[in-house]
Amino acid sequence: MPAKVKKNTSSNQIPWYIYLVAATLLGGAVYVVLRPPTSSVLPTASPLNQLAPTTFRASSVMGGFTIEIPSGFQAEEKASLVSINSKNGSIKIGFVGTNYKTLTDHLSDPRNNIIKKLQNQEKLTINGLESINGFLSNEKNYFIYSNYAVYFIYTDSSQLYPDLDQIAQSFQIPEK
Amino acid sequence: MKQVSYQVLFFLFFFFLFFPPQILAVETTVKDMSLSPSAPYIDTGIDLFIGSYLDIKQWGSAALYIPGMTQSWVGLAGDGGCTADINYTLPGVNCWSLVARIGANPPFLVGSRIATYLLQSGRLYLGINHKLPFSGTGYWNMRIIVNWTPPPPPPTPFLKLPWDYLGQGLSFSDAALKINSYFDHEYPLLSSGLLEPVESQETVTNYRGEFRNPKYPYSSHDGYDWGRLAGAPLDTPVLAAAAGCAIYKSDCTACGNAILINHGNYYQTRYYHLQPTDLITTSTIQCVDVTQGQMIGKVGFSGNVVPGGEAGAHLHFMLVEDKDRDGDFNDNIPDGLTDPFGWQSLAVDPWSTYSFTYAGESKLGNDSHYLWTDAIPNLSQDLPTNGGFYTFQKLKLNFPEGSVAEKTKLLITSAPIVVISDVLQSVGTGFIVTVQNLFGTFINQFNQDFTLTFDFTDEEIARFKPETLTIYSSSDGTNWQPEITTVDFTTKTASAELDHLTQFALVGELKDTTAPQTQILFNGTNINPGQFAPPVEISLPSSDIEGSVSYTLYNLNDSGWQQYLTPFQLADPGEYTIQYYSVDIEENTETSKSVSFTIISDTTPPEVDISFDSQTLTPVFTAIDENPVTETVEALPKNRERHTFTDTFANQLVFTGIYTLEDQIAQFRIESLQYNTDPIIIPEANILEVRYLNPASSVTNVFGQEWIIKDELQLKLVYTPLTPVCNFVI
Repeated sequence: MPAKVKKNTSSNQIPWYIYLVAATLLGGAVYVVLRPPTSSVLPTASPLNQLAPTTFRASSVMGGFTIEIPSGFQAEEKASLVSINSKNGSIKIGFVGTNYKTLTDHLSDPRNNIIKKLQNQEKLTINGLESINGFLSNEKNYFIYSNYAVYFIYTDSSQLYPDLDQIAQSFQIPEK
Repeated sequence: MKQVSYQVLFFLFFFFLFFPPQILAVETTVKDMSLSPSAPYIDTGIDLFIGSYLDIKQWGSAALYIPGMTQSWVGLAGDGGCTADINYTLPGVNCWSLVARIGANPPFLVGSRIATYLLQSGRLYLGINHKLPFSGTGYWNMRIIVNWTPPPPPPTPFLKLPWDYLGQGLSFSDAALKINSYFDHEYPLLSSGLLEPVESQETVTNYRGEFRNPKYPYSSHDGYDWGRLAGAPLDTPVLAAAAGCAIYKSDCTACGNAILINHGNYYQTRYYHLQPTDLITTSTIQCVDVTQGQMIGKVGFSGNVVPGGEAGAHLHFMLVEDKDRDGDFNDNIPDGLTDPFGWQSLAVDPWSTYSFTYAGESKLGNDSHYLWTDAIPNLSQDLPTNGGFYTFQKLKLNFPEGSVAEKTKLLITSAPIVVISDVLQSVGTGFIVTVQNLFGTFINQFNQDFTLTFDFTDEEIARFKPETLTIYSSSDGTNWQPEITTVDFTTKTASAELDHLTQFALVGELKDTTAPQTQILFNGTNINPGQFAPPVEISLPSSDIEGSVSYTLYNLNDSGWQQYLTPFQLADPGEYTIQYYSVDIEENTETSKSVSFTIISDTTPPEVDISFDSQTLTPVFTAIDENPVTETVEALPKNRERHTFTDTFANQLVFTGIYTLEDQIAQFRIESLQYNTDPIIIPEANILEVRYLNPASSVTNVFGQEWIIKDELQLKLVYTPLTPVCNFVI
């Protein structure tokens, strides 16, 4: 192979601030590409559980309600009691029939008087269903009324309160 | 071991045949003991013999406080939130539960209570199911009774729900579990007028063991209330839960119109708040015979209902046992009150151990047993002599009464997909079903056939020939036998009547048994057979005749098998071997194929030999390279030319120059040149000149060649006719 003509390898010295500007622009570009979505496009999930929840559908015994289960939880239904378990504790969903036409009337039944024991009550409408939440001692409860059935979703584990809120807010009864 | 068990059972059969258990109670040993973390395993000093009847239960307070437990304290049932691992005395059951051992035999679970005949002899040891190191506080008080006359066996389930729930499209569970008010297992004292302690007021402990839950109505309730939600609104016909003799009750204002049915088995059912019309009888003296399911009244709102009036219409249903067998049920209220759902918790049933004084007599609460003839799925893991109904994922098991001769535990777990042959495969996963008695002995044969049902609603049975769907069983997971199977494609279920365990799968014959085929395609420059220039794109398309390909695997140069997803490129020179095969969704596997090839490397750009044609005096450019080279010439302004030489591997030499011919003097001047992507080189002014020394002469031409740089002659060659061409190499 013949000798090649000597290559020109010299180049002009680049000022330091050019590197600085380039690094800033590069960093900005990386941020634009990798930044998380803005809150407006986030699902209404608990900040504790950014992963997609799964849907749990109860049996017809419990009216076939559906809830969204945060990741890390497993739900099990047994004899009209649903246990939603994680390594941090358990959230339960029970239900009873009632002859009352409203949740408030049911909770005001003099034989139980829950309405008088429930602390920090808050009346809500969850997916169109009459609801009340509050505390019985350190147990946080959601009571939800649907067609002569009263569901209660509760936990006494304070670290699960956000998950309880998320599950309760996802509670739905399928249309017949 | 199995042989010995059969011998023992054989012996026990004849032993109990001639000497019924009651006769054994000639001598009773009663001993109260305590266990604490400081002495977690103790010798009771009691020697037991085969055939003895052993009863161990809590006697007095029993609470341990163990660091790390998931609840505030544990009783004999142990910590329900902790399953013992292999470091515990008895793995697989609750941590810190009560366990026992007879002689040198393996330990077994006692839990909150055990009451059974013994199949072993030896010294009785009791322990807390612990691992070392073990610390904690508290203690358990227990009573051990040996050869005590056992209580009669649990009553046979005999009750049907007392309204036509099926006619409303409801299943038994759908109706029975839609409860307005539960039986309160702590103090079901409503009918007695006795008051419960303040700490349990306005709470209910239901049959699931949910302790003092304030959300379930309502405290002290001694039966079950069903209403509109359960399909029993106002005027719903109330049906006799079992055959018997019905009588009207009029002495209870709160009860309203009430019918009581004596079923002749020491149990009485009661139906309160009925409508005043359509009652089966209004006699409080003479009972009338009724059959199971016969209408005895209608759901109403008589007596004390909440809310008052029609809105409060419901059925109050209760069950009373004539504990003293005197034919009078009233004198066993409240102590004979029973929950027909039984007690489905590992904790001690507070009602069964509650002692109190009523009407001047000492009373003890009652044991509750599951007495519905219909089963509720997965009510507990217990498989008692009464039978049971269990569901696990897509599997259903229905054991009739008498399937087992003793109380057992049933466990269902998933098993991997079963492949019996190339064409026989399970529809989804299989299942392992085990049944053990209290001593951990596995029971694989049953006295009565049980029904096993697979629900294949969510399975892809399109892969299988439908007429071949069959339930298979195996005792070892290796050898599989087909069972007589009934397949219902409407309900998408397959059922079999069986009398044995342990592994089951719904098996079908695959429609597709042909393996898929995979090709290997190269997208690149093929230099020679099996030789490529980089880069080479490899793709592995596959196809399956009857089904679809599940996945394709390849192994490049023995670097490990990986899944092929998209075409990939190879650019590094070297020798390659790719193995590959595909598998279809039926797990039909193609035989692995192998292809070897080479990627050749060349990074050196071509060289160019410049010469002049002696006839035309035009320059001739000849590439020099190991591989083929292509040349392109592009005309540039002012007689300039750009010559590009590219070899197979895209290595390039590009140079520009000017060719002139004037007065038989040909000149070529190189202006610039570039090798591949190296910087462009501008050489110093140069001329490659060829001229005829005597172009007009008729004699043989003689010509010369000069290489001039910066107007300075660098080289001059004179040629004779015998060497007509001069080569000059850049």
